[in-house]
Amino acid sequence: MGEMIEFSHVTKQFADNTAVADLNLAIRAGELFVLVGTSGSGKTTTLKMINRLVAPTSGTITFDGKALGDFNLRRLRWDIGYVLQQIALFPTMTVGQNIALIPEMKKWPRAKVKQAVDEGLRSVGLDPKTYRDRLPSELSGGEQQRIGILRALVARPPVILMDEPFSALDPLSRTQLQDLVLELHARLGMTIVFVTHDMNEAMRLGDRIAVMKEGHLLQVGTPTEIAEAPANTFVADFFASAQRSPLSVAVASLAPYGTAVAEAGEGPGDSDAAQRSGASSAKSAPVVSGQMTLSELLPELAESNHVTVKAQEGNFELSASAVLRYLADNEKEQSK
Amino acid sequence: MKDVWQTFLDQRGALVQQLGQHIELSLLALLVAVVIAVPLAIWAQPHKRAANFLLQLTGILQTIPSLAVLGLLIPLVGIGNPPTLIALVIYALLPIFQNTYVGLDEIDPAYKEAAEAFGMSRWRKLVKVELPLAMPVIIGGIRTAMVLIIGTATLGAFIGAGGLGTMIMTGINANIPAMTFIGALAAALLALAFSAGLSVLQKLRWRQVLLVLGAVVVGFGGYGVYQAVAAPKDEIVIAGKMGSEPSILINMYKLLIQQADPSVQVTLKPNFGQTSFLYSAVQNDKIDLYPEFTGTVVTSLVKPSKAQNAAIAAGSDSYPIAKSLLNKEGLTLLTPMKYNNTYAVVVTQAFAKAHNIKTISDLARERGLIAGFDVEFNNRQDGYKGLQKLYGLSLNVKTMSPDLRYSVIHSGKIQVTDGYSTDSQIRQYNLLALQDDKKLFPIYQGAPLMKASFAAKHPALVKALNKLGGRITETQMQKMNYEVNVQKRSAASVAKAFLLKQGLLKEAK
Repeated sequence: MGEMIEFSHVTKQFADNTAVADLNLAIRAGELFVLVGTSGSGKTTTLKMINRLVAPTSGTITFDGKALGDFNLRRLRWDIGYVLQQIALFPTMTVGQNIALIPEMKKWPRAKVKQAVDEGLRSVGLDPKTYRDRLPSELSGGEQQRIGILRALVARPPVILMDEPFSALDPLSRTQLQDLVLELHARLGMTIVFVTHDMNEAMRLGDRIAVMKEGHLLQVGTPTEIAEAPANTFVADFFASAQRSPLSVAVASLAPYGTAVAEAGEGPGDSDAAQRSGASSAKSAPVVSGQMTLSELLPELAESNHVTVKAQEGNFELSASAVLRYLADNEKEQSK
Repeated sequence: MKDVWQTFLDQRGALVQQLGQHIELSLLALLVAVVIAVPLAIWAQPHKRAANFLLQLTGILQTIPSLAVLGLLIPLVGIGNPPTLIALVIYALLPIFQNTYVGLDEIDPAYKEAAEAFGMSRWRKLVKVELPLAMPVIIGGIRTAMVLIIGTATLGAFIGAGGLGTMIMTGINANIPAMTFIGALAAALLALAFSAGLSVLQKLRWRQVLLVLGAVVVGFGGYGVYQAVAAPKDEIVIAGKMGSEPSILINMYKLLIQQADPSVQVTLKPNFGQTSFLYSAVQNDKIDLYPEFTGTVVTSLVKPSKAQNAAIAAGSDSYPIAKSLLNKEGLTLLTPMKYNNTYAVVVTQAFAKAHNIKTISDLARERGLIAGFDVEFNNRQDGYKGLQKLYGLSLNVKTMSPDLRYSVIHSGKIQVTDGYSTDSQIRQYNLLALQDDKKLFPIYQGAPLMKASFAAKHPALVKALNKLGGRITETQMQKMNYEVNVQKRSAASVAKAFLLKQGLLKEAK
């Protein structure tokens, strides 16, 4: 495998902060390469330098052996798919129009575009007839990001960049979409550069993983290499934190396991009212904030078996058995 | 209410015509404003400082009172449609510019980043992503502008642009509140209708919005071309001031001119505006002629010498003075008609008979009379002040609004009022304009005013119009005003009937 993208001595300086410091990194053709790190680690800046959304302050980046700056900017970007954390399907266009954007710019014939859109929709598990002419707003978050991924790869670019694409999704959709990425990568064999702050996600997806911190590259290696021989204590801790994660998630993210309830407080700020109305009916479960972690919730759950979780997306009731089911699912994922 | 309905039926034709003018003017102004403001806002997007400057500039432009904008534009672009259009565009710029700028500026940066990362060209990004996303906000601005334009366009009537303001102003001038009400109501309904239409547009998809806008532009273009092609090449434009009397006169002019030369196309613009607008309209060739009064010429339009002023005050004919002074401006005044439309002291016929009063001197003998005068008349040297000095008139004066005085004297609460000698109300309420036997009031005789060069080029027209010289008495004019204002006959039919009766016009075969 040759080098697809190569950073040599790349530094990016914003006003008074060094986002990326003297980065040397080679990404091979056809690999699923994950950049992982906490916020402020420079991982997204690194990603955006590849499609020239961000220009490096110094150093060179080559794409397929040729300096990035030597490419026609727009043609370069047509060959580098891009998936955003905010998904950013254009709300004024239908699903089909969103997918067809780059093929149309590449002046594909109409019939070929239509065929690519329909085949693409099927390949991400969505029925073309049902979805092609819908507006993005009519889709769930998970469905939207499927389209987001399809939009990036429909013109078969050799490289796809993904910037924390699943961080806004619920755990269930996230897992499904991770599977989709693995499946598409195995089938199509393009180079994927994937940015995440979630070590679990990195371990699950990456052929190789690069761990970054405060603009510096700490370690590059396969998941096994990193697990077995972390370069320093930060990487070791970061890796270990991933193993603990099932109990540190916010309770709100367990929504798919609970049952939605309509009443009990309209939103944050009137939790008193919710508490009082909870007390008045004997069968009612205690109300907890969706922002507390699962580990904080456990004592409460042990006490009452049921809690009502106040979450922005809607309140739901969560039972102890639902939490167990979540932990079981999670364990299954980890051992995969 | 019955009044309003009746007026509506009477004025249907005029209303439709003015509504058409109003829509035409408003849509054109809106279109021009959109064509200026939207690209400007797009250009200003990456230029924050320029954008701030433009926002403030358009904001300042909008704070200038609209009437002042019109006034300031007249010396630059004359009267009629151009200044009105410019004023309306100026008002529409701010909301459209502001909303377009803000609409584009507030697009979620994620969309901009996505468009950039997909390798879209600047143009494609604008047309495919940014404008569609900002469209509801932009249309919101266009809506605000539209409502503003429709309201402000009523002022166009002041400077001869027509529109619903004509009905409002005619209503005010002729003291027909129902007419003002109908004009205002029509303007309000028009604003509501357009606003509703645009709110539908706001909900449409980008492509459909483009289709609708395209249709409007094409429709307009086609209409404009049609007008340009269909417009007769050689036409004579005659305008008149507000009210029934000028309208009757210009209809007479038209009939007389067409009798002299049936091939001439004559276009009438009744209720075109106030004196100064008409005067500058003739000078700027916007219109060819209009009926003007000798007294108005010497008091407002030209500056007579002291000797001439003294001669006028002494009661000598102001026509030769007016004509010679106008000549210096390259203008001329044809032979005046007989009637003198000047200030008049008015009493009821019953009162005049009972006290045997025919002249103002007769009235001066009476004591303890109550008079209702217009504030201006009360303070003018050629008004009540002059009456006191010259006739020794002593009245118990109450000042009142001019629209009220005729109905008040009719009700008997006052015995004396002021008016104009040809007012139709004199006939309507059985009143009498007393003779100004000591000649206090200046003489206001009507005659067509035009450019001297125009008169020289159209000798047949001058000859035809001069047939009215020395014709039409005050009573005849009062009667014709009465027929139009009270009996609601059209100015054209009243004019024709009079000319036929006087033998000035031969019945067409």
